[in-house]
Amino acid sequence: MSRPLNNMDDALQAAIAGGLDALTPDQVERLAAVLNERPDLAAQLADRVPVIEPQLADALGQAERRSLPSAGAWSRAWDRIAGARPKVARRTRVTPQVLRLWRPLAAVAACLILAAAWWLGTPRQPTASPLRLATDLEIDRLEVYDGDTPFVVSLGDNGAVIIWVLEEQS
Amino acid sequence: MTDRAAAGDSAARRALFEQHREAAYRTALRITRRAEDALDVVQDSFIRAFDRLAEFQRESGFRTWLLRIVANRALDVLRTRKVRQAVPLDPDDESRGPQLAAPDTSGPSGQELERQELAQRLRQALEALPPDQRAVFALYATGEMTYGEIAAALEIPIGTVMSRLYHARRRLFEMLPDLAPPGVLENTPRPT
Repeated sequence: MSRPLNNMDDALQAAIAGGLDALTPDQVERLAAVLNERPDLAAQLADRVPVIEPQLADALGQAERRSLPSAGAWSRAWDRIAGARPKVARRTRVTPQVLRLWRPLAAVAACLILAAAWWLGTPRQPTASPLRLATDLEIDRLEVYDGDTPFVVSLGDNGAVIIWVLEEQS
Repeated sequence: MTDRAAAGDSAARRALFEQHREAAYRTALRITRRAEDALDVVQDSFIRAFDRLAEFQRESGFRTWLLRIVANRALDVLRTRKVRQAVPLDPDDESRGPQLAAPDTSGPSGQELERQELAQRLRQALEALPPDQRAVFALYATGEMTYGEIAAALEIPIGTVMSRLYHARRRLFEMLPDLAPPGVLENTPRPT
């Protein structure tokens, strides 16, 4: 909803004519609110260059003149600007190569991850090791040395097999 | 020339740099208030401008487009500056480094001394402006950017540009009444 203009037409015309200073702070705030809500009115001001008084421009020029870089500083600045351009060019040239490699690399990585997950998730077959988990056993004899170390021994078809050793902590 | 520069013509790019470097530097200096930051901003802005020259829309001139980049880069510097209190822009300040022009020591006249004193007061007055007003003022002080271009550069509405410029000028003229046009300081806030 647009605000009523009231005397904003005069204020806007003053701003357009470069007479912004003739307005009061209150008028300026109201005009700013109107312009921010009404693009059609803002467009009237959009292509205007706000006036800068010659004495202010001169004073600014004087204030900044002695801070301007020297010819040597400008030359070094240009060297840095010109030197930065090859980096940009290299980046634009390399980036497509990286992008081209990215997909196969990602595919290989995905395959490796899937293979590792499959390998880790698959139950392992018992290896042909002399150390086996005894699933069918009977305790044949229990040997104790000084009350510290019990041995559980099973006698199977292949003879005596030690299946577990426990060391008691005294 | 911008077409040649966009095509990578180094001579065209250098010509653009030499043509617009001072306006870019002054704009950066007005916002950052530090000579060393201003030069960095100019370098970075030209690098960015040349990098994106193909995107340059010729609705506005190259300078306006460049100053838009400069203003935004300078504001970035302000935002990231850890110490908010800027070093005063004293021409004799050693911290500016050797890259800056040496001050003129050729016996200034009384009138020159007055101008130097006014310049110093103006630097202090600009320093005292809030950053948002200073940014608008910096682009306004180029003397060639429209309200619409300033608004686009700073990504704020035109009404806000007008308001900030008004208050920036008032603050400056309150601190520098000898620069104020007649009648500027006569308007006082109305009681509400």
